Amino acid sequence: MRYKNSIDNIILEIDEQVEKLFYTYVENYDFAVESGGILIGTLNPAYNSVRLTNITEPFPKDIRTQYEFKRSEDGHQNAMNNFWEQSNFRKTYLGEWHTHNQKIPQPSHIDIKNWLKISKKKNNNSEWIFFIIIGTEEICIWTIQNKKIIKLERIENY
Amino acid sequence: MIDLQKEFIEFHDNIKLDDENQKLRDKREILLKKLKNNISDEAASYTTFNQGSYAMGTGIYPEDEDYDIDVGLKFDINKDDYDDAVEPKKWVRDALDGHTKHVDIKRSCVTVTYQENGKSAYHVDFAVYANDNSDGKMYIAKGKEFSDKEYRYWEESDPQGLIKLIKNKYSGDDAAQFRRTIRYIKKWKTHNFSSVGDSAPTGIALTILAYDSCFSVNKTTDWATKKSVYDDFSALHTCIKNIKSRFSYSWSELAQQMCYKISANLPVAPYSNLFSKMTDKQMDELYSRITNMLSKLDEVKGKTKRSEACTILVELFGEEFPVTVDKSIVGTSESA
Ligand SMILES: [Zn+2]
Repeated sequence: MRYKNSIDNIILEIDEQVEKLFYTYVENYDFAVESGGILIGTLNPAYNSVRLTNITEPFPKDIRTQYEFKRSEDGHQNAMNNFWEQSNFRKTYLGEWHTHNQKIPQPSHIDIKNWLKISKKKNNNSEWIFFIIIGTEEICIWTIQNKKIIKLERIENY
Repeated sequence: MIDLQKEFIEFHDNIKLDDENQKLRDKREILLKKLKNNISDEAASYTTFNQGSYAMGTGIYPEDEDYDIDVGLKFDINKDDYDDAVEPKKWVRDALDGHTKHVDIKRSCVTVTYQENGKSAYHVDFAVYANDNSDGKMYIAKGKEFSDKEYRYWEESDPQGLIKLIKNKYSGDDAAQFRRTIRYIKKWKTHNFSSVGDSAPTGIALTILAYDSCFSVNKTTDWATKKSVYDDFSALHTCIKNIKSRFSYSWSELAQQMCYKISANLPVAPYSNLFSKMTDKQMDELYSRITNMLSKLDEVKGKTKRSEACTILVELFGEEFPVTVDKSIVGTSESA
């Protein structure tokens, strides 16, 4: 599946296994607690694209309630390190995902504040950081550009 | 700066195309067999050898162009017995004709082109030589079938001497860095010039620039292991800097403007200038692209993030250059 940021035509390619994993969250959503994790993938500047190859899922130290998901470093950092090493140092942190009890998800104020903070980090390897919210019907993706939140469009027929 | 040696070695593995390549060997062997079986009884005896960049160990995979395989055919003839240098080329053409749709006598060779999916996928260039001359030298047959007589002639040539010079300039691991650097520059050329026309320098012109003092080995000795540590980025950077300074700035009558120009002579017969086919304007354009490459390489030097350094190198060399990243710090995240 491919998504495009229409402003500078950055393409986010999502591997099928990641997409499938996201849809298991859509299908099994039980409104009890929220889930989330980090986005991991590779940079492909020759095609102006970023490929989402892996995600992490909730670890025990994460705080999960009906309305929030507070991701800790525990577990996620280790998983990231492993993906990095196993990929010959190609895979990098690409952003965050979490679930919402909404059909078509919209970021909350807390989400927006969080996203702006994460995008500003100097140690990000990727120029583009992505944020995904899994709703009960739809999955939506955003990125930050010049402190503005931009929603990605799905490229059909690909 | 960041140590990018692993990335450069991986890049090199991605682009290098050598004589070991089975596909190319097969194509060559099929045609040589065909030639042997079909060449007319009128033709003289001959021996074959590999020439071109694969034989020199400086071949790379083509980007948009087709594969180019170079074979030399040394006929046991005296050039003085063949007033028309195209005659032996016809032996070759006629023997190979019918094998594929395209067998052409070109100026410097007989070319067999293989089509795949409607476009040229391979071509094999057979250069035809007279190798039994009274002066002991070798001559290449020049000219097309219907060229005027003055364009059909024998020219002294020493392709095997050239291969020897390139191969023996350095030895061991130093020679490997020399060949890698040539491949990097050739890949840059392939990636930055369109394959149409003569506006790009030839691979051999770039190879000779490196050979002729632009390249120098860049390595240090690890004091603990006493092993040589090669630095391909620095070798490339120095080589490009030296190529840039080989240009001279002078008035061009043809372009009616000041132009940067360059020349480099083949170190073997016929000792021709390898940039002679480029116009002053094209050389001036080459200079500005070399300058641009140098400033990009300087930019790489200043980068502290691996991903940013690699991104610039992808821009220079194409997607074959790997994009590695520094260790990610995932921190924490708060969603609601
Ligand atoms: Zn949220």
